[in-house]
Parts: sequence; C-alpha cells; structure tokens
Amino acid sequence: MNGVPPPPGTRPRPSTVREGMGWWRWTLRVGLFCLLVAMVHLVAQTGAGEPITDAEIKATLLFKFVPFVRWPKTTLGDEEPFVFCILGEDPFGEVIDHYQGRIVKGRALEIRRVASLAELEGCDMLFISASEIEKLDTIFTRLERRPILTVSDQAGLGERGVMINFFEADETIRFEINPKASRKAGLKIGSQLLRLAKVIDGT
Amino acid sequence: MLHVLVSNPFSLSMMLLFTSFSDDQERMDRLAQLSIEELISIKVVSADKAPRVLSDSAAAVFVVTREDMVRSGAISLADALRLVPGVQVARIGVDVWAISVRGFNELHADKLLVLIDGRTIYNHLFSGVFWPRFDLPVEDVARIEVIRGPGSTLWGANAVNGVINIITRHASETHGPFLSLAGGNIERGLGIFRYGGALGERTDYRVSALSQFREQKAVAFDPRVRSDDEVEDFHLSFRVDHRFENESSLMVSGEKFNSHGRRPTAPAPLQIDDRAAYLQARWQSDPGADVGHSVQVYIDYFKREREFDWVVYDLEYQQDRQVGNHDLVWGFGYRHIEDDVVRGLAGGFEFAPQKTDEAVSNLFIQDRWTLREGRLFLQWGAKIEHNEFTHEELQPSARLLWKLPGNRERNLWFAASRAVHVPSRLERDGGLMGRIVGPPSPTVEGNPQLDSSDLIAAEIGYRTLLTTGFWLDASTFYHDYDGLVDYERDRGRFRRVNAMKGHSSGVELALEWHHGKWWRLAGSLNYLNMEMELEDWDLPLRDLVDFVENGSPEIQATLRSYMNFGRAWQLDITGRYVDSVVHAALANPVAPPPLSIDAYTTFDMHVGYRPSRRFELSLVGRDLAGENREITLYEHEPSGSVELKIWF
Repeated sequence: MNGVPPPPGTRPRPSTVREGMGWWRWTLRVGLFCLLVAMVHLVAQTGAGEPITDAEIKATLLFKFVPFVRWPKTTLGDEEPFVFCILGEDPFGEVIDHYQGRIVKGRALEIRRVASLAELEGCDMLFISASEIEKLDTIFTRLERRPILTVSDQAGLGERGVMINFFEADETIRFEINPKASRKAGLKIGSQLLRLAKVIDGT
Repeated sequence: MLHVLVSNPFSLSMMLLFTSFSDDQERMDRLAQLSIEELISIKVVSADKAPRVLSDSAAAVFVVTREDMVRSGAISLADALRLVPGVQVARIGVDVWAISVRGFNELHADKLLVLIDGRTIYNHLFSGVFWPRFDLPVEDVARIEVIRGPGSTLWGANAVNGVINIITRHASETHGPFLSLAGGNIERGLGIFRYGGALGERTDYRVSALSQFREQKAVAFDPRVRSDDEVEDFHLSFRVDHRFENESSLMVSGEKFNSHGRRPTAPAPLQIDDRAAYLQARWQSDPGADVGHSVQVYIDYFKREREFDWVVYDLEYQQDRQVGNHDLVWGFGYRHIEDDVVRGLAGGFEFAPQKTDEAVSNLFIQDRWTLREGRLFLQWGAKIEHNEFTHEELQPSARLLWKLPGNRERNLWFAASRAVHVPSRLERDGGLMGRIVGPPSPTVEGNPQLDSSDLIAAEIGYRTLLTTGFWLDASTFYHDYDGLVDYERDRGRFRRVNAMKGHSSGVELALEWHHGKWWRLAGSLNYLNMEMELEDWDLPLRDLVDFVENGSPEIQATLRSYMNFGRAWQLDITGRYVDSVVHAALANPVAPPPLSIDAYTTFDMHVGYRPSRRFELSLVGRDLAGENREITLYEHEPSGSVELKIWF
C-alpha cells in the first residue's frame, strides 16, 4: 500500500473492504510454494546454481596459467616441486589446497604460505596478497630479476609491475598481463595467454 | 514468529530435503576441467573479504553490495538503503517509506531519481517513488549504486539531489531453485520462491515470486488518528538473458504486481488496491567492440483501484566510442505518459484535467577526457530535455578527477553541475479539497504555469585507502536552489508557486575498516545545513521556510559492525543516530501542524547461520532501542523476524 493517511476528516469514500485477508492466506501461499519447491526438487535434483566465488576461479586460473609461461631452464628440476607461494594474508583458504600435489609442468605442486620476504627462496610463483601492497616497492627490490612469476588481485598493480593481475569486470574475473615485468625477470609469457589478457604497458 | 518454522509442516519437510550438499572437492574438479576462456566468463560472487575498491568516478558514489544487504538482514530495498551514508530513510507506514538524499525528505521526495536496471521508477504523477511497488527480493539484486548530488547530465530531470541505480542479477547467476521464508511481528510473513536455469548454451532465465504480509496494530499516523495498518503484496517477475553469436546481448524482464492494503480503523476505512506490471527489453552490442550501442524499451503500467492509473512508454538509445583520449557517450530518449486520475491518494487530491498525455524527449552527450594517463580526467557534458510544460531544460556538468601520485591510492574530485526538478502532475494540476468534517482546511489549486525548480551544485570529494583495509570517503557540497515550491494565497485559496530559494551545504564522511577476514567496521557521519528564504511576492505567501530547513535531520550517523565467527556464524550490528526534525506535514502542506520529532538512537541486529552454501538461517531485530519516530508520527516499534533461505 502506498499513500498518505487520509487527512482527518477527509470525506469517507465507498470502499469494498475485503474480508479475511491476511495471515492464513499467506500461510496457504507459502504452503503451496513449499509443495512446488518440493516437486521441483524431486524432479531436478541436480544441485546446480551454487554461487561460484572469485577465490575459486582465481585459484583455478593460477594453475592454468603455468603451462603458458616459460621459466629459464636452470631453475627447473623434475624432482623438485613447483612451489607456489602466497605472501601475506591468504585470500584463498582451503580452496587452493585442493590443488596441492597436482602435476604442473611435470612437477608436483606445493602450496606454501610465507609471512616475510626472507622465505621467498624456492618460490617459482608468488601471489602478493592485498595485505602487502604497502611493501610493494620492497618486494620488487627483493625480487629483482629473479625468475618468479608474480600474481596479485589488486587494482593498479599490473601497472606497478606485477606480471599477472586479476581484476573484476562485469562480475567475471579477468586478468591483465605486464609483459615488460615478466621479461625483466627472464620469464616468457606465451602469446596464447596474452591474447586472453588485457595487456598493459607498465614498468 | 518462530512458529512459522515450527508449526508449518511444509518448512519442516523442506529442512529434511536438503540433505545432500554438493561436495567442494567435486566442484573444484569441475572447475579445473574448464579452459581459461571459460573460467574468465563465469560470473562470480565476490568474497565478502574483498576490500572496497576505490571508485574512479568524480562523484559521491556508494555501492551497496548484495553481501551488505544480506548481512543487514534487509528484507526490503528501503532497509538496504539505510546502509548508505547520506541517504535519509524514514518509515512512515507499515510499507510506506520516504527516502531522500541531501534533505527535502517527505513522502513524495521529489529530488531523488531512482532506476532499476535503467528503468526509471520515479513517478511523474506525485513525484518520488512508490517504494512498496518495488520490493524486489534482495536475493535478486546484484548491487545498489547510490550517487549523492546531481546526476542530471546522464539521467535527466529530477536527479537533483541524487540518483539510485538498482541493478538486478544476471539470469546466469541465479540458476536452480531458491526458497526464502521469513516472519516476524511486523513482517508477518514473507515467502520468496525463485527458479532459474539455462535454455541452451546462450540463454538463461529466472522466475521469482514474492508474497508478503505486513501488519502493525494501532499505529499513530496523526495526533488524532490511530489505526491498524496491514498490507498484502504479491510480485511475480522474470528475467531472460541471451548472448548472441556476435557477443551482443539481450535482456528481457517483466513483472506483475498486486497489493491490497487497509487501515480499517482510520476515521474513514481506507482500502488501497494496486495493480502494476512492466515489460522491459535491452539490447547491448559486443562489449569488446570499438563502438558500443545499446537500445532499451519498456512499458510500465500502474493502477490504484478507484483512484488513478498510468502507462509509460519509454525508448532510449546510447552509444559509446573512444576518440583519441576522449571516451564519448551520447544518446537520446523519448518517453510518452498517459494517465487518468479520478482522485489522488486516498481522495485527498483532485486533478484537473483528469486525463493527460505527455511526452518527454532528451538528447545528451558526455565526454570523459583523459588529460593525463592514469592521473587526471575531465568528465563534462550536458543533457537537453524537452517537456510540454516547462519546455527545454539544459542540465550541464563538469567533473574533474585527480588521482594523486604516490603508492597509496588517493582520489580527489571536483564537480559543478546544474539539475532541475520538473513539476509533477500533482504540482501542476492537483488541488487539495477543503474538508467536510473536522477543522476547516484551506483549498489548494494546481498551477499549470508552475516552472521547474533548479539547482546549481558545487562538490568536492576525496577518497583514499588510509592503510591496508582502511578506506575513507569524504565529500562536501554547496547546493544553491531557485524556484522551490511554496503557496501563495489568492482570495482564500492557495496556489503552488516558485517562491522559495535558498541553499544547503553539508559534509558526508564514510569510513570502512577491515580487520583480517573476520571483522569489518563501517561508519558514516553526515552534516546538513539548509538556509531557505521566500522571494518578494505580490500576494501573501505561506511561510514554509521552517519546514524545509528543519524537515531533514542536521546530523545523521551510523556505525555498522560485521563479524564472522568461523565459517558459519555471522553477527552484525548497525547503530544509527538521527537528529530531530520538524514534522514534514505530509497530509496537508499548506497548514502543517507545528510538531517536532525528537532525535533518536537505535540499533538493528542480524545473526546469520550458514552451515553450507545451500542453507542460511537469520535472525533480525530492528529498532531494538525502543520506539522512535522519523519524519512523521508513525511509531517504529522494535521488531524481529526470522528468515530461512535454501538454495536447492
């Protein structure tokens, strides 16, 4: 209903007040809904339509990127694991642990959470978490020319020199690539991946 | 109203049905099999932990996410809008709200434009929005974007003090059955059922039904009027999204709405029966193309039995393209409105002429000019709008965004703009009848010569990430109004004339702070000062200056806390302080009763339990600090409700 209360003393108007409106009728409707839902549920017990989170997509994309990136030969040994490090607060949680032990580039994937730059030794790929943005310059100095693929998901970080940066557009997860940054580190990002990315011309 | 859950055998049987939750492992396996192309085209729900991204617009923008809405336990859009810093929301009936930005709040708040998916829901007859008509399920809303300050260059007339854009979710995001049941002491019962799915590879659809019943006993509407207030609503809506081979897309949506309300014990029994429907289609070209086009058409129909009805036909075209470092958007629109008013709003008004038909057309262009890549942007443009009574209205604006250098993002913006309010049908043609019983009230007649009122606004804003997880948005404004409506007295009758002017100024502050993943605090503080005066006038004027100046709270403050305990539990508390106001005199603008409404502080609480992705139980309490009143005598009683949501 919508409207001002009638000013006191407004002329009474003919009205056809409906009887018995309200509570029980609502209950009846809800009951019918439930019945309908129960039927639909029984017919289509598919369980589709759960919301997929950005973390799930990002975690999956991270390891889909790896085959398109060429690391300098010296750093690769088949026996050693492929180490994916998360620097700072972990935005993925259990989602990413699902990929622990999977084979990427012929090596077993190891997921490592690192709290400080001192623990970077051995990382092949580094996710820079939102909590570390302020230390970005220090991180870059520390990484200087090391063959570590850097990834993040904060606006503007691609331009600042992170190699692959996720962003959201139209409620989908997209990524931008800064090829200059990867070239400096001796990594080569394949054209097939570049084709799917927003390529940025940063530092 | 726990007994909804306990006593309703259907809801119990529901709880037994969702025994098999899908496995997270299986889900990730399925994702891992997709290609990169597929992954980047999946629509996602953003995690609640994502810190707010700084907006790049040179305007005071605030976005309410679905997460915010769910966490506040909002059942109606009006509840969700209480979260927005600088928006004044006042409940004045069991399902009637007055909502405004930067002052001038009343039932027919005429300076705020509201759109749902690009379809304007501001009504030309009385101004403002019939909020209960638009109680869409919060679960179908993707986000609400609120722009404080004029937005006329893009959105046209009546976007004087602000614009609210409600964006519903894409049909691909709402697959599967969804059921929500809620009940409480005012929201007696709410049921939502939605079913969505895909029709082939390129088409998605959903159908939603919402039914609710609200009731409040013996509430005060006036010092002399107490009445029960009860309303029953039913909404049935759908949305279909289709993606063509060439990447262009088509959205078609529609709704059927019925509502029956009554106040049986008012001096005269009041019965309101509303029916409404709309149908909308929007086509958009490939978003990746150099030149973008979009075309939108809709028909909107509303009928209040025994009182009035209207039909709106609307067509809009928009094109965007890049020319060098200019991002250009231009477009045009045409709207045709037919209405028939037997009597307005519970018989309080009579319109002459009874029927009209009017057309509004517009043309606009806006340029976002990159002055320095990544640093400095100038957004300027104008809209020219033609209507049949005030004729051409030019609404230009210029906005400058400066992203300050440094590691931390800091955006500074300046804006100057002009916006107009075009008189509603009520203001032009609506007369208030003298009373037959009760104290005599003056007679008001419409004024077809009434001109638009206009606003020149200057705004400055600043937003920044202070440290990790600490976000600040501040804006200040100076609004200069001319031609506001007052009433002149001519031989015992009153007529609306453009006889008031004045200015308002204010400061709006919003802060947000994340502490890890488990705690988010958000606060806002708004200060508003209005100075009005009457023009020199030949005939005596009714002095409404005091009511306009003091009709909006000078200070409003909110503090919201969102806490996660483990994965399943959420505890959210929202406190708010609203300063005192002078009664806005809705029923009779020419003889307002001199009443002031006290300042109040109250809080709302939400406890959420979500043990899996498919099931959520929430407990919501509102106005828990006790009774309070907002802009009218309507009393807010503490209210509570329980809501159960199931995604099958």
